[in-house]
Amino acid sequence: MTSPAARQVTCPTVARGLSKRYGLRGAWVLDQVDLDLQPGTLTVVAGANGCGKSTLLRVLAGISHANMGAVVQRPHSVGYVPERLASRMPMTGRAYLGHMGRLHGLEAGYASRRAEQLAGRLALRPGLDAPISSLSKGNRQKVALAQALLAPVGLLLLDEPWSGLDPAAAEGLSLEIASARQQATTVLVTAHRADATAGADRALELVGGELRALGRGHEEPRGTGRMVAELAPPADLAGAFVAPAWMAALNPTFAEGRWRFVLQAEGALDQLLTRALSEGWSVRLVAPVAPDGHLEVADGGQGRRC
Amino acid sequence: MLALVRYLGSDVARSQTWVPPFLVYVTLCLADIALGGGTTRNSLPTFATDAAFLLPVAIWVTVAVGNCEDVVQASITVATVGSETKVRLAKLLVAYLGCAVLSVFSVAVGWASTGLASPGVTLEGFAAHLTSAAAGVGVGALCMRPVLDRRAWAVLAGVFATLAELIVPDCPPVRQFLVLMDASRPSHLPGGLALIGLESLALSSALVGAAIGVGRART
Repeated sequence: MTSPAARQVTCPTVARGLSKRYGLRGAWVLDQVDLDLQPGTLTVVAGANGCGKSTLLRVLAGISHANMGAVVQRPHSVGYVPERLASRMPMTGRAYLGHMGRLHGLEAGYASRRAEQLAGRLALRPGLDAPISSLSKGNRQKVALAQALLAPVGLLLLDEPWSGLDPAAAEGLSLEIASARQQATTVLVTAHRADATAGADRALELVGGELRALGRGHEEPRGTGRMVAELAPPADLAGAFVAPAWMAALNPTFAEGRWRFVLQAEGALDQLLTRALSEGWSVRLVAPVAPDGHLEVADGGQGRRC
Repeated sequence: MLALVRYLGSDVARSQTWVPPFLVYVTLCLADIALGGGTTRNSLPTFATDAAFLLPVAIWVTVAVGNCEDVVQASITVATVGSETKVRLAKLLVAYLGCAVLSVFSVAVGWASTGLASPGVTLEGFAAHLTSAAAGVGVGALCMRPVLDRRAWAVLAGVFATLAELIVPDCPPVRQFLVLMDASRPSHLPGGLALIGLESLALSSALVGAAIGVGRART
C-alpha cells in the first residue's frame, strides 16, 4: 500500500493564553492556558468530568473559539475524535470513511484500503458495510477513530479515545498512535485518570481551568524521547523477511536476523515488548537514544550510532 | 469544496430531511395551477406565485441541510476541513442546489400547464425562482445552527421572515416579483428582474455574512 505524501507541519502547535467560557457570565472553563505541542510527541491531559478537557480539544481543533488567546500554527487538517459519535448517522462506515478520505484529499482507492486496514486493526464489528446508526457505542467510537487516523495529519486530537474500546481495539489504537508519531504527528489525548498517561511524553492536568504538570518526571520530554528495541523472532519465523502485521505499523528494519524498532515513547515500547514476548519473540536490546544519536547502553560508553 | 458538497449532499439525501419541504413545495405548485394559476394561459403570474412560494421553502430546506449533521458529526467535519466558514458555505450551496432542483420542477410544470410559455418568459420565470431561492437561503442561514439551535426558534424566525417579505413594501424579492410579474406590465420585466436579482443577492450576502459572524461568536 502506498501512502499519500505526508503533509504534516513540522513546527509546533502553540496555544497562548487560551481562555474560554460559555455565556457572558459563565465560569471560565479555560483560564489563560498555554500549551506547546511538539511534532511527534504524545501529550495527555487528565482531569475530572466537566473540567474542560473536551473544550480544550475543540478550541485546539478550531471547532470552538476562545474568548481570549489564540492557537498559532495549527495544521490545516486536524484529526479529531470526539467523546462520542452521532448515533443517527444514516451512512455506512465505508461511505462515511470514503467521504472523510476525500475531504482529506486522499485518492479513493487508497482511502478504501486504509479504511479496511483500520477496520481490521480496530476490530470493527460487524464491518464497514453496516450503517453507523446500527453499530454499538464502542464500534461507533471505532469509526470515529478510523476517520481521524485515515490520513496523515499534523495534529491528532483524541477525546478519551480508550473509553469503551475492547482490548484488541485499544492495542490497535496504540499501534496507530505510535505509527502517527513516527510520522511527526503531534498527538494530544484526554483521559479521566492519571494512570492513562503511561507512555506519554508529557502528562498534564486540567484543574479549575488551569493546565499544570501531572506528577514529576513528566513535565518535559525526556532526552530525545526515542527508544530503540531489537527483537529476534521465534524459530518458526526465523527465515521470514516480512514483519508480522501487528508490528508492521511501527516500520521496523531488519538486519542480522533481528527486527529493529525506533519508537517515540516508552508506552509504545511497553506494548511492543509485551506483544512480542507473548508471541515467543526474544528481546535482544532496549536502549534510549541520546541527544547525540548514540544509544545510551550500559556497556562502558560504547554506544552504537542509531 | 466539491468533496465537501458531495459529502454534505449525500448526508442530506440519506437523512431524508429534504422530503417534507420538497413535498410541500410540489403540493403548493400543483395547487396553484389547479386553483386557477394555469387557467389564465399567462405564465408570468404563475411563475411569480411559485417563486414567492419558494422563499419559505428555501428557508426550510436551508435549515434542514444546515442542521442535518449531528453537532458532534459537524465538529469532525469542521476539524477535517479546517474551516468552519467553508463548511457553512458548502451547506448553503447544497441547500441552494436543492432549491434549484425545485425551481426546475416548478418552471417545467408552470410552462406545461399554462400553454407552453415562450423561452424568454420561461427563462424570466426561472430567474425569479433562483432569486427567490437565494433570498430564502440567506434568511435560512440565520435560522440554522449555530445561530439558532432550537427548532422552534428557527420555525418562528422563518415564518417572521416570510411575513416580512409579503408585508413590507418594496422588500426584495417576493413582494416585488408579485407586482412586477403582473401580466399587465410585461415590458418592464427584464430590467426589473435584474434589479430585484441584484437587490436580493446583496440582501442574501449580507444575511450570510451576518450568520457567519454570529455563528463564529456562538461557538
